Amino acid sequence: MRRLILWGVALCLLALAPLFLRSYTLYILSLAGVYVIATLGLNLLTGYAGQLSIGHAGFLAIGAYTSALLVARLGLPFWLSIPLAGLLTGLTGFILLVPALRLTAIYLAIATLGFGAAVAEILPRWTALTGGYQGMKVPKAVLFGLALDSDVKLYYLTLSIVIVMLLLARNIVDSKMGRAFIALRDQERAAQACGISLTRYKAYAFFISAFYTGIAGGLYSFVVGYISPGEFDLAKSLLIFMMMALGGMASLPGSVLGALFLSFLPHWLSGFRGLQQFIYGAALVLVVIFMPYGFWGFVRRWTMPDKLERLPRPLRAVVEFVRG
Amino acid sequence: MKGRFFRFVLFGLFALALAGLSIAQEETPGVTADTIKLGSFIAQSGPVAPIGIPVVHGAQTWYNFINDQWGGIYGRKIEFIALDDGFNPANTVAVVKKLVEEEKVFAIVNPLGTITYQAVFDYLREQGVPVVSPHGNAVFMCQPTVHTAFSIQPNNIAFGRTLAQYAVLRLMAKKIGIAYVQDAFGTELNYYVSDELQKRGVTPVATVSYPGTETSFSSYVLQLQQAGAEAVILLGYLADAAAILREAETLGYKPKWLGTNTITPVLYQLAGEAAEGLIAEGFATDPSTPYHPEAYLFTMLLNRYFPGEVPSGYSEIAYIGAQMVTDALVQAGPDLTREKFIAALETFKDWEHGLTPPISFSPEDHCGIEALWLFELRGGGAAFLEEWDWTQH
Repeated sequence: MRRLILWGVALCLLALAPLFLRSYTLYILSLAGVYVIATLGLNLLTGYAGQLSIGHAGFLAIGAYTSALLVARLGLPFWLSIPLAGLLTGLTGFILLVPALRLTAIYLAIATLGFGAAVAEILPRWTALTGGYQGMKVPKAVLFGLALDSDVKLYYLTLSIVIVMLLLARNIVDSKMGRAFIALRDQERAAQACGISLTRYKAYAFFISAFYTGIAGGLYSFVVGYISPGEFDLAKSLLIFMMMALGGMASLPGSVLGALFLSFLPHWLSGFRGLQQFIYGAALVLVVIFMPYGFWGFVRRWTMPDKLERLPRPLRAVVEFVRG
Repeated sequence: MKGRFFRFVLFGLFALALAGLSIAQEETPGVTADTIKLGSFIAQSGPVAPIGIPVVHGAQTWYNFINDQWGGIYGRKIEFIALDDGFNPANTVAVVKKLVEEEKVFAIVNPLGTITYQAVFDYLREQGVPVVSPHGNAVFMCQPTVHTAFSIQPNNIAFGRTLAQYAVLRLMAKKIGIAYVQDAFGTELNYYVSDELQKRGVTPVATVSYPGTETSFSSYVLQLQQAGAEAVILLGYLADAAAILREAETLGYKPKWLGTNTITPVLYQLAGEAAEGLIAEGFATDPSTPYHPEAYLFTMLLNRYFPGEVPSGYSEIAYIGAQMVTDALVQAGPDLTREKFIAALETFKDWEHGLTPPISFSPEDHCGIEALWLFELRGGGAAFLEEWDWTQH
């Protein structure tokens, strides 16, 4: 009950935010919402199913270009383009399934890195479709005749999609599938011995993760209004990874906190000319040292200390991945 | 009766609020009795910072000088707010919203970057915010003409066609090779160079392209050498040009090199003697030119406000852009509005402060410089060859 009230208050605050926030902050909040969805996608794959990926910018790019092209070239309505972008990106997620069934741990990470790099190389070369290095402008989103041309409208759109995706993620995690993911992450062989199909659940994990990131990409193109291949590089993959690791691995509220924090941090630091990189790095190091379970783990330490041990530590998790 | 009265009061209040709103809107954004707010998005962190920081300093130098020497323009001091977007378009959108909607700047001046400007171009046009002197060569910046957008820098059409024309018409080269960097800048330039060569009936013997992160250039140079190119057009940045020249020197390959406006005498520091004889194009006087009063004033002022800063092409162009902005502000008169500012810019005819070729605008044409200056690198410096107007050939 108390939890429900807490979430209700948070939701009310977010819904009323446009009344007292300016368009600049709303835009950054919308952008943060996009990253929340992408981070949820990565967390389902890496945090829950235990498959390390550092190529998610590739999925984000595919989602962004798919939705933008569907609207700009084929004239599809915007509300249809985002789910389609998610589905198509989800299907490309199966590309990563091929190495994922043969490789584990750090070797899988290298394969995902290669995937991200390949997408970043293909996009600018496919000039006829993507407009090359110059990038492409994305038409304004129109929802049933209503042009989503202001930051307030885009904010409400992003907020509602984030809530839907969060609830969906919660259901996935609490379902049979979510428990299968966790079982495969913790003890692959034992899980298989209990009758969990490794191939099937890895396929689900990659599809769902790519689907989430594709939706995020589709939204990204409409929030920013312009996409270019240079934005979807290794740095963006690592950004999404950091959002997940800082927020808390295998934690849905953690994904929200991590994405919000790393979306706003560069803007808070914009006043410290020349010191930004230093403060940014120091903040990340401090978080990893003093909040080993991520932000959500830090919150949990006060609210329910007995459950703490169940959360995987970001660093320990990475080390375990590396060991295989 | 009571209800009608209430409605009447409500209507009155509403009308008052509307009137208040319309008065507030008539005020020119960013202009008060004693300040004019100018905004900009310039990367000051990340890989583009070595270009962005000189740009900020160059523009700030001239605005400081105007404020200190004349107390601003018609008693209004210039406040120059250059926000850092890290050269990331999604961030550019954020900082431009902040500049336009929170800071309420009068105009965007001296912004840096092609993809960053591209991301906010439509937004700034819709908001009616004037943009003056963006740093970039992309064609969209002034073609087609947008009422509020003015460029000083020549665009890639001018840079590309000039290089191709010069190689064919002046150097009489028959076998021409092209090396371009794979990004927005290199691909657009290559398009216009190749197009111009084709018009002149010349097919490049070799066209090589390399990623911006490339460090080893031997295979590209070998390709150019084997194709027997007597003139090679370099469409990249200073560091890649230096690497290509050094590689060619080791291979004993000596074509005539041509480069675009990214090439400056700094090339000597990176490539040594291999830089000798390279022909580059540009549109501003080298700030180290001796016996040049305007170049001297620029160097002196830059050192006054930013001691120890070495004058470069980047800070100089920002400084020239700032001069154009203040000249237009003076011409727009004491009752400043955005429309008057734009009208003032459109009357500029053969405008120059001694550092660039003359610049003219008209309501139909917002592209500044068309004619380029060609230089040859000689003895550690740049020797002026001739002025070249590609539209005349």
